[in-house]
This record gives sequence, structure tokens and C-alpha cells, in this order.
Amino acid sequence: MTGKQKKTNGYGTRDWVYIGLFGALWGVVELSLGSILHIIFPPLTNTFFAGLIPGMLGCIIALTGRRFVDRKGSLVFIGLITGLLKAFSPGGIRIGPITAIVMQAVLMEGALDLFRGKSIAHIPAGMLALGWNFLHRFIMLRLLYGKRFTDVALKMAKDGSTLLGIPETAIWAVLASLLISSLAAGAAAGLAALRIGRTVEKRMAKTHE
Amino acid sequence: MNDMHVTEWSRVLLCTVFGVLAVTLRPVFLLFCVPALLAVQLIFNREGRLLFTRGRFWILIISPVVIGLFLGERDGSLWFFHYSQEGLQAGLHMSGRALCLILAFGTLLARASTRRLIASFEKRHMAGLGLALGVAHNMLMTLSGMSRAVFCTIRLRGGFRRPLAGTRLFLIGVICAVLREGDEVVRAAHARGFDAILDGHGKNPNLP
Repeated sequence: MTGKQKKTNGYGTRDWVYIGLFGALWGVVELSLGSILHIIFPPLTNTFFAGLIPGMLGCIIALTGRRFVDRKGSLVFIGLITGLLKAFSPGGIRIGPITAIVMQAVLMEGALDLFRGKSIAHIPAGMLALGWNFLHRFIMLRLLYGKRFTDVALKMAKDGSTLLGIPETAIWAVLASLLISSLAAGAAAGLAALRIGRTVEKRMAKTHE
Repeated sequence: MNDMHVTEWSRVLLCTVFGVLAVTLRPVFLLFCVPALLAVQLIFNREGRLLFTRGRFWILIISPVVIGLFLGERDGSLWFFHYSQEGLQAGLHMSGRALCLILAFGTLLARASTRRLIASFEKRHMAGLGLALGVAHNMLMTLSGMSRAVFCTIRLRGGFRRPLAGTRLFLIGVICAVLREGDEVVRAAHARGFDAILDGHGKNPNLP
């Protein structure tokens, strides 16, 4: 094996074509469904509501794609292609969604590598991807606005709880329940990817017979 | 080294410099950083002016200032309006930093296009990634149409009366169609002598 082949980890033409196609399919979900939901919902709700549906579908598509490109790192490339498509979409270049897509792909690949490609790995992979979806807004705002964002957010939470007459701990409870629901959605997406992947594999095998 | 190459690297350099400045500079100096970045944006990326027509951009920039006005002790006043001076300072600093970072990122990706990126990948011996991006870019509309066709088929046959089962059927149908389409693309690529695995010199071993 030559130096270049080692670098590409032996990816063949079929692998790259499948990476491109699954990346494009994830891109279709992000560009069509994601854009529509982001228009319907106000900007700050998209992490918790509008982001969850395309996130789940994207997670299912990417994990199923990984099944058909069984090479280390292929999921990262799928995410990279989707991120680039999103960057050049008519909506214009936005840092947030591109970072979210690539990070989700990296986390899913990491989980699959950690469990050495076992089927059960799809569940933690989905949980990590959708869990990131929840944390993404906070991390991006912290990066964009700096450390003062944390102070302002805490102050807002405090003032808000005083205004509404609810204890401060209730805010943390709401955030925790949102995170748990994201993780549950991720686990469901991982499980769905596993089942869909198996069905597609059987169906394609029948077609090739 | 051609001009294009220099331009790409100069964009990366500009983005890095302004990104670091935005993160490390004290609030007062951000006042000088913002006009400089605006000037750079107008020189390198005239289409970047479109950024200022987007509502989302203004929400990101204005919301910290507006929120800051009402946070903390309201020790300042403008006619009948009382506001928090500390909150206003914090809001302005946050907005300045965000503006710098958004403009720096815009400068980096200014005038970038899929075609240029694919050419750039191939120049750097990453023909496979270039192929994947090319396939994705060219197949986007086909896949979109394919997804719509599968969705309509399932809907017309009443598949979405049970939404979860319908969504599962939809995904299976679309992914099978994608894999079939992929086989066609692979056959076409092989017929044209394309091989993503290059030899040690970055050349296609299948070509003379």
C-alpha cells in the first residue's frame, strides 16, 4: 500500500460515491425540512423543537450510510459533505448549523469506534448526536459572545424566576428534562437506524439476486 | 504559487487574525476592529453586504444590547427611560465580539464555491473527497425529487395514517433508491476510468 492509499484508508470509488450520496440525502433533509421548520418556529426555539426532527432524520440517514461505507471515519466525511452543502445553500453561510452537523458526525463516528462497530453502538451514537443538538446553542453562544454570556444568562434565569415567582431550581429542572428528551430521541433514532439499515440491506440483497 | 493560492491563504490568515483579535481584545479596542473588518469585508467580498439584510444577523447583534439594558441595577437614565449601565457595557462588548467573529468567518468563505472547492481538493490529492462533493452537489436536486416521489407514493397509499410506520417506510424507500442511484454513478465513474485511490505520486494508476 502506498502513502496516499494509507492516507485515504483504502477508500474506493464506491465508498466516495456513497459518502457523497448519503451526505446529499442528509443535506436534503437539512435544506428542505430544516429550513421550513426554522421559518415556522421563532429563532430561539429551533434547538429544542425544530432542530430535533431534522436532527433525528439526519442521524438515521448518517448511521445507515455508515453501514454501507464500512470504513473508519466515513461518517465524518458524510457530515463534512452535508456541512459543505449547507454552507453553499441559498440560505447563505451560517456558522451554527455547519458546526452542528460536523460535530454530530464526529460524535457518532467516535461512539461507533469506541464500541468497535457493534450494533448496540448505534444507540449511544444517536444519543451523543442529539445530545449535542441540545448543547449546541449554548456552546455556540458562549463562543460568539464570550464569557459574559454565561453571566448574562445566569442573571436572566435569576430575574426570570423572580418575575414568574418560581424557584430557580425549576429552570434547571426544565433544562434537564429537555436534555433527557433529546437523549431519548437520539436513542430512538439510533435504534431506528439499526432496524432501517438491516431492512435496506436485506432488500438490496434481494435486488442483486 | 499562483494568485488563487495566495488569495486562499490570505483569507485564512485574515480570518485567524481577526478571530483572535475579537476574542482577546478589550472592549474599547473592538471599536477599531469592527470598522477594519467592515472595510476588509467590502474589499474582499462585496456580496457580503447581503449579510446586513438578514433579520437573523440583526437579532444576533442587537439582542445582547437590548437584554443588557434591563439586567442588573438600573443606574443610568435617558429622559424617562432607566437602564443598567453595566448591562449596556456587557451587551455592547458581546455584540462587538459577535460582529467581529461573524465578519471574520464571512471573509474566510467569501467567493467560495463548490466548483472551486472540488478543484482545490483535487489539487491537494484528495480526488475522492472531490468526487464525493461533486456527486453530492450534482445529485442534490435528483435526490430531492426522488424523496418527493417516495413521499407522495406513500401518502397516496395511506402510509402516513400511522406516522411512525410511514416515516420508516419513507426512509427505507429513499435509501434503497439512493443506493441504486449510487451503483449507476459508480458504473459511470469506472467507465470513465476514474479511480479515487491514487498512487504515491497523486496520479491515477488506471490512466496511461
